Amino acid sequence: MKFKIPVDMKERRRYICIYTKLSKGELIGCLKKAINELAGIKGTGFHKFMIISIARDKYIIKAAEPSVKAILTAVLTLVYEDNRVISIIGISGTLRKARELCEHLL
Amino acid sequence: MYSDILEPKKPEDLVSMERKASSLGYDMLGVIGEMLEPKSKGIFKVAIIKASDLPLGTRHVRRSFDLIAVKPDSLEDARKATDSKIVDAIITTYDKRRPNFDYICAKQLKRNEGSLIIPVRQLMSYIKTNPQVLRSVKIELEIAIKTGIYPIIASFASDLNEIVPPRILISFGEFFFDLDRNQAKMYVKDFPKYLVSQERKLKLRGVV
Repeated sequence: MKFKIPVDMKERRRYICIYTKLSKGELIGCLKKAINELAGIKGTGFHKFMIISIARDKYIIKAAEPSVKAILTAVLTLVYEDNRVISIIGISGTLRKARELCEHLL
Repeated sequence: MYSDILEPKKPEDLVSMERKASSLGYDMLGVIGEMLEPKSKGIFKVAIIKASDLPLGTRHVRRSFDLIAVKPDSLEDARKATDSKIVDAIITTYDKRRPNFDYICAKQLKRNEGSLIIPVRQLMSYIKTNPQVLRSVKIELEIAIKTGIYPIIASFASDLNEIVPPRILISFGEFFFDLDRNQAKMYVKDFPKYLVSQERKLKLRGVV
């Protein structure tokens, strides 16, 4: 039997548009490390995220709504601790709007 | 809309930092130090003094600064600083053994409608080496909330790249201190504005 999950029961997704000179591999590596460190300090669970490459230096981080604050704090760690240049362009609820945000950058 | 406190290394950096901050949505900026002549619109001057300078060395500071904050090194310092009417805010201290801000300090600060400032950049650099400081800061914040003084989350950015959008500061508050979104938003938006507002001056001194 096949069940359909109602829209309000689905976990909301967030798309964080970022601009950085780091490569996709570097970005995944340092973000994963920062999130794990924060999770260790705070004692929270594992936060999943996915990185979509939109154009050169522009990426979209796809994450679930509860993980957004952890990811943004991890970005803050990278900016303040490791002196990485990562700019947050915007946060959106849909991929289409996130792409539009990236297109309007600079 | 939003407010932040900056700590530029050189006076020349201030213009570019101000431009970036306004593009990110900040309309009020606090600048630490004496580097604003003439004073720009939407910028307020912040002085950070030591508790040992109180009260004699700070009389001239009151005239030229909008916000006077104290960074206490011990609980005794915090008690002495909050007792003074000159002091508007206390900066959270990162002591891994115990918080340096208690209910007595908070009640003394409440008489002056003061606030507790959380400098994010400094806290982030402390957290990795001493995660215990997070507990002290959290206790200080809880005391501030219970007593009714106004907590403020500010970046204290010293470089152009360190200025981050207000949404990240809000997320920082949500993640580390388990605040809800609107509460964390007030720490970045409403409380800093109130601290330098005419309304507060009227309440404290009776004149604007």
